Amino acid sequence: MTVPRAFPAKPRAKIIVQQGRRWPRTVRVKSPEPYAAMVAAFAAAIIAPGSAPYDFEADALAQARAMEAVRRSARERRRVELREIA
Amino acid sequence: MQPLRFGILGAAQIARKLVPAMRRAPGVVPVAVASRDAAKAAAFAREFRLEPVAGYDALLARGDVDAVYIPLPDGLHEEWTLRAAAAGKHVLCEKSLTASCASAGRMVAACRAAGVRLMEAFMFRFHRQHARVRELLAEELGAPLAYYARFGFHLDDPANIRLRRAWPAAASTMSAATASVARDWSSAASRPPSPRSSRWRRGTAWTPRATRCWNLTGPAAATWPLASSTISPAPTRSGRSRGS
Repeated sequence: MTVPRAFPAKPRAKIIVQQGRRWPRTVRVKSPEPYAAMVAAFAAAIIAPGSAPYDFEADALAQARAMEAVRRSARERRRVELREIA
Repeated sequence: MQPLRFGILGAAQIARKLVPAMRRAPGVVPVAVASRDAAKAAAFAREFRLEPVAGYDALLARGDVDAVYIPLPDGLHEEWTLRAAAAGKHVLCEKSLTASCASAGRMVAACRAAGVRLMEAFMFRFHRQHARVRELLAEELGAPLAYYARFGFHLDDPANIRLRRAWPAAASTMSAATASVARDWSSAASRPPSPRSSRWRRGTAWTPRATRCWNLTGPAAATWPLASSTISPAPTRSGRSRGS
């Protein structure tokens, strides 16, 4: 992994999530389980209002803002402040 | 309790994963699949034991469908989300919902006005691997110092629908996934890095093949390189986060 120049210090912890790796060992990345969980969460939010794990619509708006920020930064060849996408 | 009856708006490849998942999900029943091509709808319906419907409008007009799953190319998401909302259907839309705030605003406003829910289909949020990462960030590692993601797949067919200029689907889909993971992980770690953490997991050999790269720099000296490639020699999906 290439560490950017602005990286402040040598990291002491690293997390890797990668397709094909069984971690945790009980769930494969390509398992249908998370798709089913996603659909179930969507259905539950409709059937029992208030049970959504997060605000779907607010997240969609925040994601669109993040996408605009990412595209703008790519166009302008500059970094994006995390607060622009968070 | 009445199950949520789903209609599939388009016989896309990704729908092949979602339809079996719908059957596994409690309170959900997939009912019908629509395609502009009646033969394609019939073939998909036969394979997944659904009712075939010729044309998306015909599916939206059905009374036995409560919600629609939209796996169409990104450029068609807004049009069909608005139509579905007008028809009173809840919408589960494949990522990227849209790459524009204005477009997202129109879709959310239409769904709220119609009293239906709108969800962007980010499966990773429900994956136990990501749940474990969120747990590590929140309880052990604290705020990450770096984040790097790559997401690529083969696009060597010039006729592939994702390469249509009017429907910028490929880049948008992949940058949506990587950006969403960055958002999700950054929100998971609300406290500063833990000084006592020493966890270090080693992965496979790293070969950067990104054709697009964005650097996302946050407060407290956090640096977030975010990469996504539109054409990759091999299908790859990975996310790495470093912290101290």
